[in-house]
Amino acid sequence: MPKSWNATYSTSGELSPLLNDPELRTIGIGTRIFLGGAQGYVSWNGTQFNTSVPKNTSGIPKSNSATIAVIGDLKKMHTDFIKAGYFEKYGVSIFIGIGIPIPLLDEEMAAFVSIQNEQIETTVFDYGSPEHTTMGTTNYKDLQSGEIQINGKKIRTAPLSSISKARTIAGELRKWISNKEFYLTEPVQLFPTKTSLNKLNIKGE
Amino acid sequence: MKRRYVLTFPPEIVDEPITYNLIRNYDLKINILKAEINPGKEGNLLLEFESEKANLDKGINYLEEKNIACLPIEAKIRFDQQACIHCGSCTAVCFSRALTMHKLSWELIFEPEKCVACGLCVKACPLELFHLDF
Ligand code: SF4
Ligand code: SF4
Repeated sequence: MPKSWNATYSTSGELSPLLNDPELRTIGIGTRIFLGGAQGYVSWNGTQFNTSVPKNTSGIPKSNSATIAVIGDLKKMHTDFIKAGYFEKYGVSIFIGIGIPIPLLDEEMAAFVSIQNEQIETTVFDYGSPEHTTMGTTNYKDLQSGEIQINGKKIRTAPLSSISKARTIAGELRKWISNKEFYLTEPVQLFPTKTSLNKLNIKGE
Repeated sequence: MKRRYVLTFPPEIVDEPITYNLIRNYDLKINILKAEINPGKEGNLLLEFESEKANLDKGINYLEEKNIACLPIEAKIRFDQQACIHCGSCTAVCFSRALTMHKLSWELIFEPEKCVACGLCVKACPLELFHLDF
């Protein structure tokens, strides 16, 4: 925010599925998921999918990285988990609850899913400046504490994704699985590795 | 005790020193948090009163006699709590900390007694759950 008044952050940190499987070993095309209160599927990699972002010592990407495209039957979804939203100066958006089961295939996966908020680092950008200047780094423990320090300055933080909903979704999905209403799937195909984003260069100015 | 009220002045009364009378005659400690007084038009005033309950009641009686509507702040800001998804967007803009996230449940806590009627949450909530009548 302009003049560093506050900082907002998305994802539920240590509960975020993509951060619990940072190598995308179990989440891929065809993975069955909790989608808006119904069962849905991962259909492709999402917009700005980028697996070349540097990772920290815990194996977590240090900035925006993997994203997913999903598909499901809207008529089976529930308004508790899907809502229209409007962000001032941005436009219409959607809040959709997604839960992804991650099978503990081996020790490596067990280590990945035990990730803690302090191990999840991310970059702080100034969206008030036209170039979105990088201001520093922080982690989810600090972000969720309500205050971060950037260049010696204290900045208030606020979430944009609902952590309480994320917990509800995790609980629901667990129930479905233990009631044998939801079966885990192996991805039909894994996501591409080492992808990156190309910039749009504006020519002839 | 401390309580916040919004006073709504009918157009014909905006030139009377109401606040002065409240302080002088009813011994009320007053903090003005927001004011919108336009001569010839209806005016609004957000006040925080600090006083004994008896004096506050007398003061409010006086206001009612003068035809000034006096409503607690929570009656002026409407919030559709049922529909809240606890995303937290509104907590980013609420500098009086009337809106905060519960640190364990991560549910939104709304404490209208801390509200200063700035109206920033009205635009910040992506589900448009706040309505401010000021
Ligand atoms: S009107 Fe202002 S002070 Fe009151 S709750 Fe909304 S943001 Fe907070
Ligand atoms: S921005 Fe709206 S939906 Fe989100 S926590 Fe605040 S009141 Fe609830």
